[in-house]
Amino acid sequence: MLKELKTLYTKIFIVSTPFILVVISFIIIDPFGVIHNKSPLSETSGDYLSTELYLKNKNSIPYNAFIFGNSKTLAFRSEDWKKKIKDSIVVFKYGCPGESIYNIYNKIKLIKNNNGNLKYALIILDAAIFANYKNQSKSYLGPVYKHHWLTSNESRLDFYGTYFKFYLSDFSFIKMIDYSLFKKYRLYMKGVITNREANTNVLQTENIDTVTNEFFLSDLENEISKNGYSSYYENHKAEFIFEKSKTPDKEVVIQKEDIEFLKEIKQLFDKDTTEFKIIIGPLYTKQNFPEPITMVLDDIFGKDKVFNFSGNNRISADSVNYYEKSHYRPIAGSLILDSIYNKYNPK
Amino acid sequence: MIFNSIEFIIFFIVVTHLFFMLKHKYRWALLLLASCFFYMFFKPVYILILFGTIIIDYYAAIYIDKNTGKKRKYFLVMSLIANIGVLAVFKYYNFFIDNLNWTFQIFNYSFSFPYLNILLPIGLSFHTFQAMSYTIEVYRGNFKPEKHFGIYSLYVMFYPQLVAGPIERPQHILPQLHREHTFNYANISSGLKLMLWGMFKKVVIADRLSLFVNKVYDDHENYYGISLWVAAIFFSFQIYFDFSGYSDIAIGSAKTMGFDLMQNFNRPYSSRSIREFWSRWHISLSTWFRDYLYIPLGGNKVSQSRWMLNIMIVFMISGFWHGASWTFIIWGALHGIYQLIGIVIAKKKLLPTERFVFFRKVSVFFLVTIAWIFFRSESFTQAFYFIKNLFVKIPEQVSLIISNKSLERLHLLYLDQTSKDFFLAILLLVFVELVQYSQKTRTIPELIDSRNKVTRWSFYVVILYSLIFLGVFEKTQFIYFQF
Repeated sequence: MLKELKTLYTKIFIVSTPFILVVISFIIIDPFGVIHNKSPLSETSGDYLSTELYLKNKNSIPYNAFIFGNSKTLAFRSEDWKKKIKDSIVVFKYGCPGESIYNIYNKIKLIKNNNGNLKYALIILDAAIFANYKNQSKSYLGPVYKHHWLTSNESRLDFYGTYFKFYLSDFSFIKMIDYSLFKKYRLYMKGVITNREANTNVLQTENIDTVTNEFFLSDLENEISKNGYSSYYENHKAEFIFEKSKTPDKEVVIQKEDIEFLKEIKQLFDKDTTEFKIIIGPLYTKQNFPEPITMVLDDIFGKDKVFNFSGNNRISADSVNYYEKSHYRPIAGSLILDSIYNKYNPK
Repeated sequence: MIFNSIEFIIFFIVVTHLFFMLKHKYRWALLLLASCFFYMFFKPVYILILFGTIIIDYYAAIYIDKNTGKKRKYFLVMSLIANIGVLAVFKYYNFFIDNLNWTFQIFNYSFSFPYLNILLPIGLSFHTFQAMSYTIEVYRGNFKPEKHFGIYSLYVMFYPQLVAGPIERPQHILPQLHREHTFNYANISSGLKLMLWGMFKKVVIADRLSLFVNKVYDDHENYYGISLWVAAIFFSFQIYFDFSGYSDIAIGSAKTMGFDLMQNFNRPYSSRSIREFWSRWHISLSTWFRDYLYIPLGGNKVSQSRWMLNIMIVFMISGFWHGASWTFIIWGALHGIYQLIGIVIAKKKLLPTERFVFFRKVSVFFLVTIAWIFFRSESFTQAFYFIKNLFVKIPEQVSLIISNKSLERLHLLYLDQTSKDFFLAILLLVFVELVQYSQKTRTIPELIDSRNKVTRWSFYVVILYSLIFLGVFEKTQFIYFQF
């Protein structure tokens, strides 16, 4: 039996050798920066980077203020928020692209489970977060995107498995090994390797503040300050065009499970007497946030905690406040914070 | 856990190693524990339901054997009620309530029965049928009841076939569970090869085809004509490779430990008649219905009209077994009608039996594909949309595809997937059909192992690496797991 087993194992090993080498290359190269946390070759997971940074810093940095939400949290600078709070706050920006209510809930739970101090919280919402119920739609976030297993409640095996599957698919590993060895971007790598020479606004560890986890589109801001907003708008006009086929925000509905998660979030905030604010962001399209969802938020969190900046108002009326159709700039975020802390109506 | 997952691969390796490390007298316990673990991976609490029916059937068989006359029937009926009852509650309750409530609405009654919000236990339809075949065979005197409770439990729960068959008979499996299985390199080798082939059929072919099929079924009103044909034909192959792939993995994993499970598929799309199709498709289920429903109803040993009725009953119940929905019943009824037409054609000798073989095979494939439309559709509306629009604007679409104006080919033929994926799917279908054509009645390991060393190694290396690099690993469940 042992001799036959040895023959079997030997045959399996010989046949599997190329595959084993590919696995080893995945571990060494770490193309998505999810194993050694090094600079990724491809678009990486903002949620993974954020969560790992928080876990790394939580014992040495006394975070007590958190910003949650999707990529729109980009507009809310920790410095602006600090000015509004008459207290010493240490901010951690815990938003990421493709967020859902489920992820926000898991992040708050993660902070609580790690004895974090949830003294202040901002939750930045828009219809996209509710449409992205339990992380269903992610194709717009790059070739592959996965939330950290701690914020998605999926297994670690699933997390690494997803990235490894992409590594194998369409022989992407050949492109990644090529780039890793020769550090030269070639045309055939498009869609797999991030072309950093053409686009420096990609999410990578070097662009992220290692304390607040803030990420800024500094190149776009530099372009605006250097050439003026009108020139910027002309160069980026196509990015302001809204696709007609997209579902209007008013048709987005809130799922039953999301209502439960929101209630749990409120309970967690109550336990820590968290001073929180829910901000519904202003979209470039001036679409109104779905009324039924606003009513749910008012009901759960209280009308005095929910600030609705959707629709047509001073912020959404001025395109200067936007990078493109999806994301508003820090100047808009600053106006929003001014409004909610100084209690004036931006309409 | 599903077969196409890392968890299953680890589970299988551990269990198989432990199986051969243990002495024979302890192996049933290992397999039973492993099967419990396998089952509880889905929803742990449901193991109580499974053991509930196991206990009832175990004692029912013993009392059937001990008693005579009416008392035997009483215990058989008790066992059947327990199994069918569990099936009725978990699988069919909401269907009946739905229809009842709809009937009340028709008559303007405001009252409506509540629905049950429960998950269907995995493999319910399969293991209940396997359990029922045991008590029926004991009742018929064809088999003595199993005295060892653990071995009987293992008969019902044996993990390779627990969730989607093959639905075994006690005469075939129970003696194997008692027999000592020594380490046999040939079994292990052939078992692993069959598992690899099954995984290839599921992950490389079936799941790739599902990308096209789901695109159309998720948004059917955006498609017509050729697109619907592509989706329908691809689904015919998807369900075959999905289910036969699962069966190969089940049979292969049992084979590594020396257990022989029955063949479940035998190149069904080579059938020259619907009758032949059902002798080649899901063989374990069709023979179950033949032995425990069709023959007790009288089979063909009754009047012509009663025979035809028996056929319709069996096929409609078979459809209903697949799912609690009228579309499944219609699917079954269609096959029943096909059978009746086949009987009339044979009786009146309308077609020469041995000629026009290719035409017959294509016709059978066409009829089966039309029936699959009902099987796959979420509703009547969807199924009838398909049927109504299959032949709409085909000449126009053909010319658009050929000219490729405004990228029409992408939408009409490739169903908004890439041309690369489309042609890869076609290539894979052709490859597997060629292999199966060479296969005839042999298994894949038997076919390949008869070749020289270079061919053998090349074949398995190509299959393995196709699985790794071309596999669609979206953690898709096997289609038949939902039944």
